Amino acid sequence: MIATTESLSTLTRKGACLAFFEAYADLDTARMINLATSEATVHFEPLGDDGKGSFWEFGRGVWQLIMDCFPNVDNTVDTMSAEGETVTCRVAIFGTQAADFMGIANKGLSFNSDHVFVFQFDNDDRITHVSISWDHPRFVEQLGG
Amino acid sequence: MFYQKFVPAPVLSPFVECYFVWESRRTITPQTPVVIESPPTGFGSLVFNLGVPYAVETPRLGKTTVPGQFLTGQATRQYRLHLNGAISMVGIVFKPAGLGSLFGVPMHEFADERTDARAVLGVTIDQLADQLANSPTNPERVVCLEEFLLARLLKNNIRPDRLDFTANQIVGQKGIIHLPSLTDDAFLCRRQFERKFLDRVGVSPKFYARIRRIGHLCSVMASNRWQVSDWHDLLVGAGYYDQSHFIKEFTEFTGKRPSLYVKDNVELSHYLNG
Repeated sequence: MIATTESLSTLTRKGACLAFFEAYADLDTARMINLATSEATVHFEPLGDDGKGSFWEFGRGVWQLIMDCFPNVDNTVDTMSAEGETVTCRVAIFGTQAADFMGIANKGLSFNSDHVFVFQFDNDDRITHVSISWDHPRFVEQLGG
Repeated sequence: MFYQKFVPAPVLSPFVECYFVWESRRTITPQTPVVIESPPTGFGSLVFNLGVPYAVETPRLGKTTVPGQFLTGQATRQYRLHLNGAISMVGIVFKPAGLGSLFGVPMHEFADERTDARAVLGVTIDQLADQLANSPTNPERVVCLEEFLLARLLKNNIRPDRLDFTANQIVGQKGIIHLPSLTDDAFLCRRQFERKFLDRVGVSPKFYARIRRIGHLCSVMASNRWQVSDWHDLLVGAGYYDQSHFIKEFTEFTGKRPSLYVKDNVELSHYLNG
């Protein structure tokens, strides 16, 4: 069975992803979480079960911690692709460490790490879940950990 | 297979790479289908299929039927065309920022997509499709396409800007570029440049340069009928100085290791062969 081609319904979802990364670059966690439902969840995959939690609380806490420890954190969206309720974004995240971060002592080093964000949306185009993966050993290595 | 390219008018050249006509010269039926693989080329397109409907297969979406007239943005992965009937296509191949510049559409929406052109550009597409179907020769069809673009250009007073220039620089330099210099050429700060580039081209400048390098490398191999006498020379010429990095890069974009790809693909992208 051959499926039909994609519809235009994915458009606003990619726009929501872009808004998320723009808010991230602007260090604005309030704008980031307002794109998600209050029940939305997040999974920072390399952290295992410890990396699972609510988007609004746990996610916001992690992103705020990143911003505090890497005050110049920024990103480049490389590609975005949509499939049904899911949008996959390949994004480079980069910044310079200014404070100890999750057990990694601050040595003032910079990182540049390719991340994959997989967003899931509801019918109102609000984020219901995001899974984030990256090469964590390489990230730690770049920071001298 | 018959594939012919046509050069655009100079005023359109910042936006348009070429026009093309692609037709089958032997019988293709559901019993004798043809599958054609193509790597990412680095160009978007507006295509009118005047022949039998066909399907495209991508790693992400599997097999999907292609609309009769469609827009494509940047392909970020290998794709396969499944043809099971007579081919008769005519279309426009755009420079990387060309579609975004001429039609004002956000190109990140069209990366890895084949979207019904009518849904994006409206009923003018139906009129153009009718003209193409009623034009008896290929040169006349190309004239229809060019007049369509010229009308768009003149009506909206569109001129190439710094983003067209920098995107076309990546094409001209075969993806071997120094990104900070490119940002300077665009007269924008890095973040603004990347945002505008994503909107106009569909992927980031760095990612586009990677696509262009692979696309160019494949075009060189295709033009030599996939006979690679010296891999080292080929790779250095394409800006790859680390063999393991090249293999990883090639496999990521095409889904196959280079040696297997060369072995399997005798009929790659007809556009690249032109």
